[in-house]
Amino acid sequence: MYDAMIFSRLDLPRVIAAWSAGRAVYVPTTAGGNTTLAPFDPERGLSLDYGNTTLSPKAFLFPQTECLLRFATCGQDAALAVAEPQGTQKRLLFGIRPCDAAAFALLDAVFCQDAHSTDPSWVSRRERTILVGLGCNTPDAACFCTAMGSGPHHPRGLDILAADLGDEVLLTPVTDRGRALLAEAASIVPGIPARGERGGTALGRAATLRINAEAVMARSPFAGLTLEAVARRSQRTVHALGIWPAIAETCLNCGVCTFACPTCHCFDIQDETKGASGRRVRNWDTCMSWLFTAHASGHNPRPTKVERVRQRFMHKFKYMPMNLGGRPGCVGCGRCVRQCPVNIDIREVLRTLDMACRAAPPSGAPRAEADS
Amino acid sequence: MNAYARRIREIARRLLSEKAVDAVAGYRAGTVPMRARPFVARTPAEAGELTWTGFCVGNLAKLAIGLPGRVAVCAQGCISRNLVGIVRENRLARENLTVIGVPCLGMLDARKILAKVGGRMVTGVREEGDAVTATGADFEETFARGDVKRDTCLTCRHRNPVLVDEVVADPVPETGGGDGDRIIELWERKKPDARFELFTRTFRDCIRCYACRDVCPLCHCATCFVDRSRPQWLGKTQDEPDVLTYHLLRAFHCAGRCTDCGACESACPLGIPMRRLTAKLESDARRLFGHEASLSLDAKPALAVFSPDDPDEVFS
Amino acid sequence: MNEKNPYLPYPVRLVEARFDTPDTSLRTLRVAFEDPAHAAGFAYRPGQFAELSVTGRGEAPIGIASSPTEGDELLFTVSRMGVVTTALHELSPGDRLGVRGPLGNGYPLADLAGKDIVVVAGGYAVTTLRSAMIWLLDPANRARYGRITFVYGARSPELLLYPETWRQWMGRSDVDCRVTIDNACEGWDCLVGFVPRVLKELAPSPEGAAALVCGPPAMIRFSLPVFEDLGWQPEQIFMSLENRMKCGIGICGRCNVGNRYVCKHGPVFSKAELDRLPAEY
Repeated sequence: MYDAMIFSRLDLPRVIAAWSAGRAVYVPTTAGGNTTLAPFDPERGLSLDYGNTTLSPKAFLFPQTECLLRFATCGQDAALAVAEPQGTQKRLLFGIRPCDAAAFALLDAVFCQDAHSTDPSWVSRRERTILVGLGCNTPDAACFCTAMGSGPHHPRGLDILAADLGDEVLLTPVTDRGRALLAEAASIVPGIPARGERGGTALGRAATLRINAEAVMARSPFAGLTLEAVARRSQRTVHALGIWPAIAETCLNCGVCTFACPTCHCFDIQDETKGASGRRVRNWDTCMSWLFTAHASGHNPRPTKVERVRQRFMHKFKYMPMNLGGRPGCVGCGRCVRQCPVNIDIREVLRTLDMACRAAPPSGAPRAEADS
Repeated sequence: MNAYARRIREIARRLLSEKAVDAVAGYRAGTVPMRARPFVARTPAEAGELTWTGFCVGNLAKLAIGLPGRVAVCAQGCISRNLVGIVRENRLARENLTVIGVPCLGMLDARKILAKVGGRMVTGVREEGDAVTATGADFEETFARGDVKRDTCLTCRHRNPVLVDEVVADPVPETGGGDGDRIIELWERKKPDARFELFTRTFRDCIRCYACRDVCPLCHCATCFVDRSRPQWLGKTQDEPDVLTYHLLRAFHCAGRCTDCGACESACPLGIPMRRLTAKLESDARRLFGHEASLSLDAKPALAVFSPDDPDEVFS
Repeated sequence: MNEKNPYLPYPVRLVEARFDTPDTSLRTLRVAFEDPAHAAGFAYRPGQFAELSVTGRGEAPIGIASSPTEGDELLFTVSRMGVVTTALHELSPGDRLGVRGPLGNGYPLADLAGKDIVVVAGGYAVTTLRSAMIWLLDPANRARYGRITFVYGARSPELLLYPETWRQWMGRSDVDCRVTIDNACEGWDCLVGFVPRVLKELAPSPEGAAALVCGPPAMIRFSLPVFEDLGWQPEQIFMSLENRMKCGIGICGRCNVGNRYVCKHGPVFSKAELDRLPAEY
């Protein structure tokens, strides 16, 4: 790709400083054992020595608490709601990982389904947020992006993919927006177009890093996960498998997995009032919660943690693939593996699910099953 | 395999094959380094999967609440006290409970180990006596156990189980040696404004996933106040008042019952120092009422009894 | 639906409200759009629903009981269950509320042209079937359908909704209207017996026919075998589901039954489709 650029690693903060003109730039920052994307501070410099952010960056596009509407509670205009204008701040997230960018691409399909079901604040934030991803050279023990259709240096969802070559950084534009951004940087900081022999070397080094990272994951005890058998079975068959009570047995039914997850997107909408005004606010919600599906009548279609745990995995591995042309609703970032207080490992769940689907007695013609 | 794990398997196998219990709640190996997974063994063969490491930091008393039939539970000092608590609060019948007592040298804090190795990727941890060795792709570093133990274990006052039916090992020195009251000095030497500022700062990273509540053996209400919708006691936002009210009210619910076991702190995905609250609860109950929660089945929680001699300091 | 922001309700005013049942658990609200342009934007089909909002209390999904053939005003019958529905019961005529929608798919009436239609309703669940019936019986639509049969039951006469409406249908020759109560009572002039029994006696032929069925779980459970015994296929029977909802547009994630969202792909599903989904509702 001739339009990639090579910058000295030492110049990277200057590149980011160049991008900071007219945008809020966030970079990975580790403090107190947690890594977040925090506002870029030239004084503090830039470390590329991090695994991934502790929480997914989804809150940048889908804040945990967000005001949708405002209204007055008394006077002539009482009960007349007005839409809360979304901010116009332009942002750039530097150093998000390819798995998380793939999650954004996946969530585009959730938040922007059609003319009827398009979430305006997602669209607005997505449009004004530029994503510069950093390829993973050292995936950790919980990572499994390669099994979920992504990869440690996968560009999907990104505007620019960066590869940390040690002394140099290779920036490869993925979108037109990324190309423009790269030109913007190159006009201020000296960079070298990745062409010719020099370019070939850099591209080769980046490819080696990618291959090595993929090889690390191929050696994982959980390598080789597949959704093929799950895809062949009907949702009713998968739902009725006997595996779910054992998977859910030690689950605390807390919301760590769903809140840490880059693809979980469920939310609640509530009204709050204070004095003469109020707001309609949406908050992240979690399918692990009893209240999530409880009807006002008291009936609950998912009354115990077994149904709720099943819903989470069915959603990721059966329902989303059915609705999104086969793409799983998981990007393999490994956060739920790392952070589940009882170490319920989604990879092990998938393996159990896969084996049970292979072993399940066929319930009708395979093709008819897969279509339903 | 370590001696504790070997002995736990022996006991579990025997209990299950003699049908003395229907299930044994313990831990099995984690799927990633520095983790152990709560596990319920129901057959002698499954008992062979049980293990014991410094990363057994969940709370099996909470797990035991939901298990049907007669259960055996592997329990360190703190967990045995939690078991006493749930028996006394009628969430588990004593006759259905067998305690496999695990004298405890303190559980490990994965965050401390990661900090010690400078964030490098740890692929395994070995525990030998007082030495804890972390290994990675290109390093091996050994630490004194005391340097990588969970904070709560440093100030533990009851490392040997208080309720025991089966013994895994000889008793260990009863305390962790540290002074739990020192943690609360953090609060006490501050003026109210500064205290509130510290309180606010402590929970700034909270995402309200409720892992702290859901791992806590004291939090067994059928419907938690935060989940009540009619009336709704608490907003669901990330706004400070909502977040702080959750933690403060939960702390009040736990006062006099909390053993400062640290499961909430271990479960928190953001590493919030939950013990700034729980150590205060434990310390207040002890210093003001001479009460340590759940040391025996007969003792009533400090706030469940009234005596004319009760201190007034609690209202100040 | 508001084109720019699907979360923004249209402001409407409560024109008229009345309690339908002596226990006041059901209240029917007639609302009018404040802005005629919004009425035009709210183009709905029978079987769709809307999120009714009382600002400060929240939103609740309620089936639309009126038919678009009746004009711009909307009719909703609300069962007092939770926070929002209680607030809806407390509104006075002239009060402002919000309507967000129309939401969901509605009954596939266009696809059913040329067919005999059997409508089976139980208790309070008759609301969107009222809409469907009014639409079907409208002069602009009636000729496109064959026989139309309406079977409606409730425990007792006072629990039957919209009596003036179905009494009027009873006087029409182009609809077979059968209304029943569970137990005989003084002054009752229609049928007595459970809906499935009335249905069995009616024995509607599956030939070129479709059924729209809404009612309490027991009515559904005993009515479906009647259809089955008569040779009806699952593709011919349509039912409307309820689940807890928030966004109403298939994003917020809670109302799913399998891979389908009740708010977006439903609430109306054929029995054939439901047979393929996990029964999580």
